[in-house]
Amino acid sequence: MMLVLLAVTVPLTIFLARKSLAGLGKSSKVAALVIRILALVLLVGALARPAYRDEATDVAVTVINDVSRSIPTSVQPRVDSFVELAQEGSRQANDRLGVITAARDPIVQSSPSKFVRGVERQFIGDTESTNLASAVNQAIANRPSDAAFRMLLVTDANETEGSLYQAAQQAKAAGIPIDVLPVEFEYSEEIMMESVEAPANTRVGETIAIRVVISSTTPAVGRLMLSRGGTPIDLDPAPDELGYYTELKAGRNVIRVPVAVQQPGPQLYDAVFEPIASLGADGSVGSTIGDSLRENNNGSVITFVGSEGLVLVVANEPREAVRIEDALHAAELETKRITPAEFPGTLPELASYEAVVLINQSAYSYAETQQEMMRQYVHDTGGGVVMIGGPESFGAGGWIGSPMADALPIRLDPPQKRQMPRGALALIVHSVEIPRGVFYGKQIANAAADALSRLDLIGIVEYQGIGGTDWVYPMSPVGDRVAVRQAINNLQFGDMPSFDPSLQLALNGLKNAQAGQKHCIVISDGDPSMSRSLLRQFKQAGITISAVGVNPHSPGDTNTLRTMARTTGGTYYNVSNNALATLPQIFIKEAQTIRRALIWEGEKFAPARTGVPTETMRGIGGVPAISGYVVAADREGLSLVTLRGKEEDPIAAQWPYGLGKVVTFTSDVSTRWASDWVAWSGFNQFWEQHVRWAMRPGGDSTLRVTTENVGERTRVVVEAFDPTGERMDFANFRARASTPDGVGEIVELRQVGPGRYEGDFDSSKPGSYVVNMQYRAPGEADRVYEGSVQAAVIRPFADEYKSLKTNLPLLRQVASITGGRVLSADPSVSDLWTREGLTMPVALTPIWMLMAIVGIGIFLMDVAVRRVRIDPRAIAAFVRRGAHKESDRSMDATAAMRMARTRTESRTGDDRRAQAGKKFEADEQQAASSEPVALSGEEESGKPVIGREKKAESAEDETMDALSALRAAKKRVRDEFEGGGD
Amino acid sequence: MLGVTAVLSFTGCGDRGVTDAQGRLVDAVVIGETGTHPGQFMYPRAMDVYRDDAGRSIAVVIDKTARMQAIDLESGQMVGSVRMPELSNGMPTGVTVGVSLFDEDQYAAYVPDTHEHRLLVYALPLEHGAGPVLSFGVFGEDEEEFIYPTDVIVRVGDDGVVEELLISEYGGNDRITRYSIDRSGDRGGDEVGLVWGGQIGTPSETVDGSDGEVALSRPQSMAVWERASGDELIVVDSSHHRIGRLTMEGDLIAWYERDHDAGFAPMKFPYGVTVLDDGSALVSEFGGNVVRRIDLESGKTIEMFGVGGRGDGELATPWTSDVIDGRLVILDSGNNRIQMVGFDDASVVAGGVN
Repeated sequence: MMLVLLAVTVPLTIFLARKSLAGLGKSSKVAALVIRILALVLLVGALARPAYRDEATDVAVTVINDVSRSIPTSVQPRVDSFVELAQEGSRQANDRLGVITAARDPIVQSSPSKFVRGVERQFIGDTESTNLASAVNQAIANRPSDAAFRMLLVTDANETEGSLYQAAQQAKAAGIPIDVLPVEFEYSEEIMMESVEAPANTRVGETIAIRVVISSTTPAVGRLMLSRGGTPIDLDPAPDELGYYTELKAGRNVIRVPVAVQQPGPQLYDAVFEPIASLGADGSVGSTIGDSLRENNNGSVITFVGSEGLVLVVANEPREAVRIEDALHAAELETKRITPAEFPGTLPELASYEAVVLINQSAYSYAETQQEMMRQYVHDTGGGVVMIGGPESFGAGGWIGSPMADALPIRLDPPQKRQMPRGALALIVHSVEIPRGVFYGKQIANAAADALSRLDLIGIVEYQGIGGTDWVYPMSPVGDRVAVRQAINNLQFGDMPSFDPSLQLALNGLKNAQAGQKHCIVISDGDPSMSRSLLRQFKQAGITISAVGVNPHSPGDTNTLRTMARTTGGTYYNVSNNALATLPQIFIKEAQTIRRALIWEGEKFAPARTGVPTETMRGIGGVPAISGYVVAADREGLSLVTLRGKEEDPIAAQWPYGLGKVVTFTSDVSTRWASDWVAWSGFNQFWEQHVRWAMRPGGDSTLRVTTENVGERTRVVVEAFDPTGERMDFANFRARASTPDGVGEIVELRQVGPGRYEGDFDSSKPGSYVVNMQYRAPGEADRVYEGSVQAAVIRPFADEYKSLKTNLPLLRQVASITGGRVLSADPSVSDLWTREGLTMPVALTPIWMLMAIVGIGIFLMDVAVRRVRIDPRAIAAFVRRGAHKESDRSMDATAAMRMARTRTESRTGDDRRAQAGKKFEADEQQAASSEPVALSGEEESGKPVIGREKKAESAEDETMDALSALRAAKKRVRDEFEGGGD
Repeated sequence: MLGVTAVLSFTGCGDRGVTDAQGRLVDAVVIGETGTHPGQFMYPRAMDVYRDDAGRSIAVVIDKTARMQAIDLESGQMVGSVRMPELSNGMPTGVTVGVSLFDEDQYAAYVPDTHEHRLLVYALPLEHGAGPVLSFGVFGEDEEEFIYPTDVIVRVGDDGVVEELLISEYGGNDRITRYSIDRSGDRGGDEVGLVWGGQIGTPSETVDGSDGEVALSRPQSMAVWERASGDELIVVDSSHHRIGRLTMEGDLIAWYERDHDAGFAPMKFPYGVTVLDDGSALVSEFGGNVVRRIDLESGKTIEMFGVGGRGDGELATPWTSDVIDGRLVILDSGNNRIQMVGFDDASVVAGGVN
């Protein structure tokens, strides 16, 4: 296209130049033409958007080093040695080496660099699982753009998460070859407990068989230990020791242990096999056994021991729970009362209760995992939660933003319409000098932001190095949290030299904030300097500071932070590396201090019934007065509000959530806010109906559930019998499995035989799974059988320990897909740096702008050639004078140029007049002025020029400059044209 | 004309040879990058330069991995390294190369091991894996105790033998302590002892400085201005954003406050100071992301080097700077690198051993 354009424009330019350059001398004409064509070529060339091509010559190699636990630690020195010796190959000076360790998370140990010569493993994270795919993706993302790139995958390829195969496909798409170095190892003597099995549910008094499946690579003898809820069971009364001596043959061994069930509730059985010695072919006992992995020698199983209507009541003090417990007992419901510290730690344990009643509980009493477990308990296992208020509950108790907040039938943020005093929180974050410090820092900041209500104010101050100390999130309402989360994600955790600028900013921000409660939280290692006078200003302003010391360097740092808190009336927290998990909880608790505003307390009033017909309010006409509650807002969806307070605030609400149900009551059940309720005759009825509605349905039918682990899935088998003992057919099951990651999974149960139903679910992750199955089946005489049943499955150890040899086929496949190689462990024959098989990246730098600028510059030269005359003779004379006459040396260049110019103008004027005489007649009135012309339209005197008196042409016109002459000629042509010509 | 303007704007025009119009260092040589391998840095916070016996210009750099690396400023290669013996509490934030305490013909690296509350001395040249030849001080606020030591001045007598050490510290006991060297042999063998010689300055928490006291808040570094009229102690009072001129006895001569020179940006968290032999000093501003050259007599700013940023010629929280071989060497801490540019006046050299 551009060639066509040139083919047209160049001849056209030459043609036009014949006329437009006619007045020039031959040499000038040629020069002008050449320059004009050159400018044209450059400008047309620029339109083609040319680019400079720069091909890389360097090679970058990223070593992905699998450091997961499945690989014996003795292998890693061999890996180090291989990489170090591989430097001796064809590595060139600017070739780059990078290292990524792969386990559960990929950790970039070194970005590709010419400085890197070997493998480092500074922080490798959790090694209980292997995700090679994420490591490959990390390496792809981290590759340099100006060097050819390949990966070296050093692994056994036993991945437990992700798909290396899919990641290899992505590498192939990016043109990146993956070389593989299989880590060769084999466990010659290994004992592994494959599973522990028991009936999923049973009844008190029955004897169940615990089935322990152990595989061994060699005959061995050892001792099997079994415990129930942590208490050892004496399996063999004969010896003094606990445990059961047994011999294992090479291969799979099944050991059955009968156990009598005596207590209701979930029963957790832990089995451990302790190898003692190997056995010879003749049955002789060896001295030792080399069991390589002890992590896979244990297993667990849970059996639900049936009981009716067990309700868990959680309260800080017995007096808060006694009244409601009495009410439930009167309704023949069994209760178990605990404090938050005794709250179940596993979902199976929690799932054994039909309902949980939380009385005046704050979120910081529970780890986030427990809060998530509560949500799963309702959503996936069909349990019921009744959350009763108090000063430490709901929004005032830090539940805003918690996992459990999603399960509640009310919104914990105050309603939009309410004008309420709000809190203001300023966060000051300083560098956290611990591994993954930035990660934890952001977790903490998010936890604090999440725990605030929508109307509260939050501001975040940090030292950003280049940017200095500033608000990264100015003091403003939390709102939908999108903006504040974005600000938290961008935190740099800079190393501030002094607390003072940050504290001063926070102080000013909080002082100006329109808020009731004002609080500041500082997270730091404590080493910046600090002025105590600022702390006094905080105290005078009534603003408290809580300081969180994360791994303080010294007692001095601790003292700085402690002083900060003590002076202002805040709290000091000292957090060491191993207590990082508590940090978010600390911030939730801290944030709670500014949320007291969510509590309404005042003159007694009776909550109004909404008139919504519900089972919970059946037979209840009105309720007694209350004097306080926690303000919340309605929730859309299936939520039903049955009692309302001031300004239509929800007091009692309920909804189904997943398979379960949740009830909220934002006032309390004690004399604090509900003294009239305690003496109310309808108290028992009110709470029995609410708790019973929330409880998981039991049912009269008998369902026997068994589970079996099949690979990475678990099969669930249900044998269903109706109350008459007949097999129950055509039952409709709603089943859901709660998973360790909290996501949950629907389990499809299909009838496969008379009264027999089967389904399965993914159980590949280590941890606890609880399957809740709600059924509904047609019975005789239009009866409907309804109820539910649970089963639990435990994956005791990660699949990391299940594979005992290298997955060579997968590695070969990865190399084949990506065009990589399967390398030998001998570094002398495995050249990491070979250029073969690599595509050298090419950098294209656009140069059209440069060409355009040069073209424009040459175009200006074209003008100069036509307008500026160079007199070679004058120049030669000047040079001669300069060379031979000493006196002429004093003549400056300006004078010489002036002389040359005068000669040029004189000659040009002659030429022009000669030409004009042929074509035009000169206008006598037209003459060039010798007066200076002000380009601004003003005379040099400064007066504006309206009309200028023209001077008559004189003999001195010989000196008229070329510009004036040209202007005169144009004037004449115009006059000729307008006058029709002579 | 447009084209000419465009060409000029592309080629760039600076008003100085070392920095461009925006203050970026021109044609800066970058040494090092982010990482933990030899020649790489992870937040380097201490540097001093010297010329070794082989005539090489060496930068001794300590970063937050607690490694002290000797970097050849010509090749950028690491030529020696040691790791601090303890790092559970934190890492050093200063280093001074000076005449060895034990041999006046040798140099040593004096490391204020900031977060371990002590002074360590290493023999130079650095040998891989070598330990300190001296460890002095424990946590505390009394004699022979430190909170957070930051810098060391090594004072040498006419005979070339070390006579005195001055050690600055912060952390609530902000002061400069001085120790004379005891070579009486009372400690047995060739050992030398450090004998308490008093302190200069007081934490600003305890005095307000209105009566001419030297009220300090994080004295991050110091230098000696050798003058015919008598040496002066130049101290960086970081959290007060000022530079102090003191007599060697500790009497205040002048404070150059942050806004001392209204013609230039205020000083912001100055960290490093290096006195040049023309009576000027380089002040590395951690908070200002710039290295400022001031006239010590007047306190007026002579010139500024660098501008905040991540690109070549830009600085992020520079901790210290020095001059060697006619080049300005800047520890660009926030960017994990060293940057070097030709210094305007090649005849000017830094005080100290280089």
